[in-house]
Amino acid sequence: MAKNRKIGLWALLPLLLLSSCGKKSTYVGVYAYDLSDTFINSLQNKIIKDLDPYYEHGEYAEDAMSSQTLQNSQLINDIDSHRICAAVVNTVDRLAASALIEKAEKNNIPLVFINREPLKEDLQKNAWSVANCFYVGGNPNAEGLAQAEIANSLFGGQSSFALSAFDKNKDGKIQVAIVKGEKGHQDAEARTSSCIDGLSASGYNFEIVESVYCNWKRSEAYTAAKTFSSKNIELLFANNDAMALGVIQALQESDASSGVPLSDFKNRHYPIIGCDGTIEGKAAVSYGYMTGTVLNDDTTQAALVVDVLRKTIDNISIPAYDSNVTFKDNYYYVAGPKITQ
Amino acid sequence: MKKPRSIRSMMVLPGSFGFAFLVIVMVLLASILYSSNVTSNSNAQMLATSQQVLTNYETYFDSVLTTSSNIAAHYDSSPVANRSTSMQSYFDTLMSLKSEVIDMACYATDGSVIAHDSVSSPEVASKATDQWFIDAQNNRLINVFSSPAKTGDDYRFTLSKYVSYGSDSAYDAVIKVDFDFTKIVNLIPESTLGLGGRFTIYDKNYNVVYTSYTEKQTEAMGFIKDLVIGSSPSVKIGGHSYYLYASTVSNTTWRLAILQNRDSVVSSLTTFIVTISLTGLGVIAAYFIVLFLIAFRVSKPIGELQEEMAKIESLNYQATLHPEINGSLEVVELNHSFNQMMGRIDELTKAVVTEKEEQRKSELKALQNQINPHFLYNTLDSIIALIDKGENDKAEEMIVALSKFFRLSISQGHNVIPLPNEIEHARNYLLIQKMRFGDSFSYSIDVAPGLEKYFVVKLILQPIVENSIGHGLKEGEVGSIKIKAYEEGDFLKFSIEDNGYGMTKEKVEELRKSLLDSTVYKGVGLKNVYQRIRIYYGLSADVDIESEEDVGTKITIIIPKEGALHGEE
Repeated sequence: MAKNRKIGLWALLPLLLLSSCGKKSTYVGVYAYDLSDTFINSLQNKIIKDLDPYYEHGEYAEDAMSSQTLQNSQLINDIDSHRICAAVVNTVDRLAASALIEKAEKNNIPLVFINREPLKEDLQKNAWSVANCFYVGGNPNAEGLAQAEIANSLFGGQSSFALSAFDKNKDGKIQVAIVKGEKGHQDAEARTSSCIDGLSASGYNFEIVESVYCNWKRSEAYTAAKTFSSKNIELLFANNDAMALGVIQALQESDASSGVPLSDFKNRHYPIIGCDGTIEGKAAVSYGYMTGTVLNDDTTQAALVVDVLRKTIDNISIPAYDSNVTFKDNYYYVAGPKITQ
Repeated sequence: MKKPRSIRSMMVLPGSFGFAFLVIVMVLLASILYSSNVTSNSNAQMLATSQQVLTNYETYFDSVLTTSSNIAAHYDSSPVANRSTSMQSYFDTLMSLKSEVIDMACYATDGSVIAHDSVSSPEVASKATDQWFIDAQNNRLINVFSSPAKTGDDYRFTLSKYVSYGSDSAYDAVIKVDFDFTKIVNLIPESTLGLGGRFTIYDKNYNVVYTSYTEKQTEAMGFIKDLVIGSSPSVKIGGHSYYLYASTVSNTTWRLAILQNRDSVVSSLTTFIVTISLTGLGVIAAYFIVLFLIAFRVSKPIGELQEEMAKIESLNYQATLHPEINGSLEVVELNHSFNQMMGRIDELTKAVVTEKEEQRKSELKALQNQINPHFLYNTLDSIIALIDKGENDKAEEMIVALSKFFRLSISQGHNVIPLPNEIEHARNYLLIQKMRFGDSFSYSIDVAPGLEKYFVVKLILQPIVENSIGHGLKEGEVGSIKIKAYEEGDFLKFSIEDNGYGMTKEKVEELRKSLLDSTVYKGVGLKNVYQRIRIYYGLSADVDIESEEDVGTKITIIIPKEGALHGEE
């Protein structure tokens, strides 16, 4: 009997091996470009939380630490070892999506890109990519326009601006400073151009006196803002809240060194409009340091990512979303509301 | 039943197979461990080299992108009125700094030239239909890299980028910079990629932008297409083995593939595996030989012992064993014990033979005694007849002869008696018989001089004489019986010759056979004599029979002199 049992165990071994290899993974990998980015960090947390009822997942997203090479190897290792059945990818370099899609197609692994929008020619390269690859992100154009709307409702139109205290040098033009996110990032470029377009559309006269890339980082914006003091700035757009907060911090420090109380901040300084609606950003709005921000709706984005995955993997149709979600083919955009108080 | 194996094969085979198995397992393990170790080390090293090359290129492309954004920033900050001259001087400055730039230009969105460097002379015609121009317009946020077909040995590529002009999109433009890739490659630290190794830059449709080595490029591209990105540790191109690494190049739509020759890794692995396999085989062979020699040393003395023992089958208990067989302690002791055993068997056998002889002697004595009564009755009847006839002298003579006969027969119980007594015994017998049968035969006894000193087994002549009288004499003729005793060489010989019927050759042969065969009971007298002399004198004693039909029979008793020198002890 003992001998039979032993034989039985040996006979089971190949079965175990087979089952561990042959069974299709239900693991969804999440790959972040850099978890030190607060918005991305929050977004990945929400995605993982939303994935939880349906799929296996890691405790954290894989962190590429701003290296596309590292992210490539993370994703390729997981694909080659059949660890994942699908991936949520926040690329470091949006142009790398082309190779990742090609690699995924060879292994039939659906990909959902977040935050960094792949080129249309890559995401819609062929029938497979249209059916299996998606982009879910904010709507940078809507966000840029919303930023311009916040400015418009503050100024009340070109004619009232020219008469108001906002026009510090009384030239009837808005001297605009722009703190941009990242060179080549579609959100940075789109938010920038949209907010400028928004101002033009509302009939303002303006000129851009500052335009710097601060890589979405508060510290870089803080450093950059130190050099702004000599210039006459009447409006500042930041591509995200973190950078807006960097500018605010620089201004507060210069106030503090000259003994000006914090309560005077709003009256002394130019309006600052951020984007993303992070917790710190919202707090800054409520204190009046920041005029407004536009919510980059990570909650809705995370839910949408999981819905798209479920549709692709398990063919479960996407539930109805509010009108703030727009989609075109395999691109899903979530426009967030303005926050001004 | 299974045939038992020899000690040698029992010692050599299981040990050798076990050892060979062990060595093979070790060789396999060592090969696998070494291969995986060397392979993973070399893969790690090649990956590091590849990533270093990639980093070098990314660093370079990053500077290219910085150039692009600097141009864009400069354009954005140039006043509308003199942006053309401003851009041209900026281009000229950049050109003097960057040798790898072939030309630089800036076009309005309708394709008309806004500015170009003063060194080169780009065509002034509209660029609205060029692909790089259209791509830049379509993807306003990215730098478009394009690679026109290479001209001669020069690899070149074009960077185009849509630039926005401040608040007025009417002045947006497209900048274009042509780079000499060959010069860029020279700027980047070279890595040794080995024979046939290469790095190739290609776009996402796998069109080659630049390759450092052109041979078998199509084949290489096939592997790259299969891989897309990542690494493939062993691809074979034209009989060589390569490590392939492919990656995207950050912020460009291009990709970089690196092929590193890993023939040395393969050959070092092959060398290792061949060496260790041969060593393993050598060790197995050496072990086999050593084991064989040991087994031979052990089994050889045992084999010798076995041969000695086989001699027992021939009942040769005196078989001389090698007094000392070289071999293991056990074998030497076994040999010693065997010798002891053989000695003991020899002793026992001798004892048995002696015992048997004694037994037979007593049997023979009884046989001798059996002879007497029959003869006695006949003789006594003859004496009675003589007395009845009144021939008292003859009766007396016969009684005397009979008396002598019996005295000699008994001889005080001795089996061996002086030779003259035995002759006398035969003579008395003949005398008695002659008196009984009248003149039907004559006899003579001829004893060579000097035989008196010998002793012989008693009653050897009388039974043969009895045979001659009983069967040998012809009726109606006067028989003749001649007894002779003489020396011949080392032997004493007694011949009893008659002139009777004689025997056919076949009969003689039959008689001779019956002497040797204990189961045949024929010719009792002669056989009895034969057996007794054999027992007393050994194998050299014999009985010879000569006979011719109608001529007569001659029986010769042959006794070694040596055994006849002494009487009974």
